[in-house]
Amino acid sequence: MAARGWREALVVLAGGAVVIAASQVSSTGRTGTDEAARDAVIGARPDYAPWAEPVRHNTPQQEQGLFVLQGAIGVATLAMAVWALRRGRGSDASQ
Amino acid sequence: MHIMEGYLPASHAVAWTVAAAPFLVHSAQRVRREMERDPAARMRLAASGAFALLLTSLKLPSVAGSSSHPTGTGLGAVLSGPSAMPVLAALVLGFQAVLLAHGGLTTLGANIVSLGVVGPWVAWGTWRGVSAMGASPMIAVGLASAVADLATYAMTALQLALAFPQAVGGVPAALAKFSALFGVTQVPLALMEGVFAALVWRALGARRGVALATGKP
Repeated sequence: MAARGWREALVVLAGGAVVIAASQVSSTGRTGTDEAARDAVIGARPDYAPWAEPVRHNTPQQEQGLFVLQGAIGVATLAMAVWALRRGRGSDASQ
Repeated sequence: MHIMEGYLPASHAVAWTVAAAPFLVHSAQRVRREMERDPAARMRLAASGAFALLLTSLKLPSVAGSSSHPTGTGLGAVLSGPSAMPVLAALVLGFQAVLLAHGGLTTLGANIVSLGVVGPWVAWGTWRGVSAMGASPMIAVGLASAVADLATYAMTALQLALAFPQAVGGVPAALAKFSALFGVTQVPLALMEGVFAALVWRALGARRGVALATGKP
């Protein structure tokens, strides 16, 4: 059962890496809904001025890198949880 | 799902922050209690948070040259219970607000309400309802995740409509406009999210499904 946990965790890790890479490639040049919503607000209320600024201003490359970092942390943690939960259940079953 | 920094009037930002606060406090208490009571709950929470972290990092292409983020909170709502999700959503949204300049600190309360409260509770209700009708756990989790994704964006549309009503037609007209804007892009992504959630549910080893869930909201 422990080996099975490793296998499933590796599948999650590999699948997650593929999805992260594919999302970075395929979303290039597309308009995000967050930006579309912002534009709709500006269209509806041209006089509205945002009263706060983002903490950081990233270049597109920095933003892309940080999204990849976020996804990598997520997929690594998820793979670890898959392994631990399967291993735990395997131990329970063997007792 | 992310209302950008400064894109809610100050009064609305404060109101949504106040609305999110009790959910956050209850969520923190629930998470702490569960982790003390059940060691396996830590891994369920880790899986719940990690799935949300992963999915909100994805910008997926959709129809008409648009792209958007899935939400990832539906699976967590089933795994850890919806009341655990506000804290996990706050961590994800905080990461994105501070490091990625997506969302914002002034709009954090509003974004927590949509991503961490509305989506997860809708997912929980859908999961319970679909399961009660005899659907397999994978189908139930997939549907719950897809519906939660749409509910999250519907809530964001409502928040924006309340803040920026149309000159003609007021809040309902604005709600229709923002819903249409999100809906076109989000429906295909919600379906994708449902598939992802069902696959991860399977990877977690939930053959009978409910064995993994806490059974409590």
